[in-house]
Amino acid sequence: MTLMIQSLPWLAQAAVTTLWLTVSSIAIGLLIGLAAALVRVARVRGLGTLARAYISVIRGTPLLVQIYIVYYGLPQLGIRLGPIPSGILALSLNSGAYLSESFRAALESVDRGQMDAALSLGMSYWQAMSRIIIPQSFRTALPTIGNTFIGLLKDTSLISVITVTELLRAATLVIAATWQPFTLYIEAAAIYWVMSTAFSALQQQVERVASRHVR
Amino acid sequence: MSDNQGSAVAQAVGTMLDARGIKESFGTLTVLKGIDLAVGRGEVVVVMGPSGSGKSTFLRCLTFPEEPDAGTVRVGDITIKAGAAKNQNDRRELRRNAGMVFQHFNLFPHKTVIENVMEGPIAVRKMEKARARALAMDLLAKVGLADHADYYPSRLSGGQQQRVAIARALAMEPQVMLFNEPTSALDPELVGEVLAVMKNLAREGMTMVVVTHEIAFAQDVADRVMFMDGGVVVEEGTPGQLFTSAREERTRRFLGLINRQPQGTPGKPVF
Repeated sequence: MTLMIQSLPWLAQAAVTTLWLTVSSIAIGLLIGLAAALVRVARVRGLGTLARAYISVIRGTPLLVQIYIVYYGLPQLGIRLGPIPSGILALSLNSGAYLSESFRAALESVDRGQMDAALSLGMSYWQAMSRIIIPQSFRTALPTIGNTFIGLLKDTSLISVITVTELLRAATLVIAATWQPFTLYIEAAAIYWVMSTAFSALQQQVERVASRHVR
Repeated sequence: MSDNQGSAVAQAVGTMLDARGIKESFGTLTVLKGIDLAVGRGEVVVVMGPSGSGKSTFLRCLTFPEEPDAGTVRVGDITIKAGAAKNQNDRRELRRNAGMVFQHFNLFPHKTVIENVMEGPIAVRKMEKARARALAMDLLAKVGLADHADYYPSRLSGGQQQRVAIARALAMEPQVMLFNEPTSALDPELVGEVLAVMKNLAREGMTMVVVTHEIAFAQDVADRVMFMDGGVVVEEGTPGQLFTSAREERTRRFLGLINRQPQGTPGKPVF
């Protein structure tokens, strides 16, 4: 128990790193995912195929392998990124692929009449998308965005393998010095759980606000 | 009177909408076999016809969410020839000139009533927010819904939603208003309030093309009724002519059928 309390500030600090890694990765992942979904829904020639290939590769390979490719593989091509940028890049690309599928489904679920109505006012296709279709699809996609966020929060532990001192690696470092794996892994797990649960609660609030226009 | 009396009116007062030779097919199914329609300034044309006659497709072809296979459409001073290079700016300009009201209202559910009406002026006409809001309030007052400005559409009845949709289309200050079965998705008791708004518009001199089965509305408001079946215009004339002495058997049969169905109560003001 004493060890738990003693190590808490150190682990809490690492948890903050985990959190901002997650937030940065999901933010970039959302942009990638939305872009990949849009080029597919809008049938932008060439880019649609590229998006499909990207989604297929990311979903068909393990995240750990993707992390290794970005961190250890890219330097061979002359692209050298530090552990944190590598981690964020791998996590963003990974979550972007999953998010793009959610966005695509959400965009396609918006009633066709909405596009008709927007165009009938004289909007351009992209104006209609950005002002009318995307905001509505966002509400549909919110639950999956939330799930992806929670998944990503836990997946950040994988980037401990490329020496990023996030929550799991911080715990491992304390274990190396104290040899108390049970206590410290439980403590790390508890912190992950608290963060996930807090985020779930936040997600429910956001979904409620986003649904305020629905009776 | 000839079938072309309406076109003669159109020519006399200046044509606001002129569609020529509109053809459309979906795969092997030919839906429109060359439709002509000229609508004069302030004229109200009601388009009737059985389900599958092509009347809704025709209306969609007028503003190009549906690209016709052939034909030319002019609204105001914008002319678009189908099949020619797709100039999206022209199509946008044409849609700005032609307000469209849909069967299922198609309000933007994530925006309040007033935001729905302000959307076109802000996004397309680049109007300042304050001006757009004032314009939207005027239009909502006109359709009797000023006190519902801050509601979301989901809280409104179908009739109210359709009145908002009319206000939204009017906010673009269109030269022509197109109505695609505006009351057919409504409960019978809500039909009257929408028709009343449309009647007022007609009285104010709005040029209108209305696809509807509301015979009483057509009798009251239409200058001309066009009866379509099988992708062609079977006949057209004044409501008096068409409803009392239609020449074509197909027209008489159709009118006989819809006369037996309950109609809304047009003209009954509810606000």
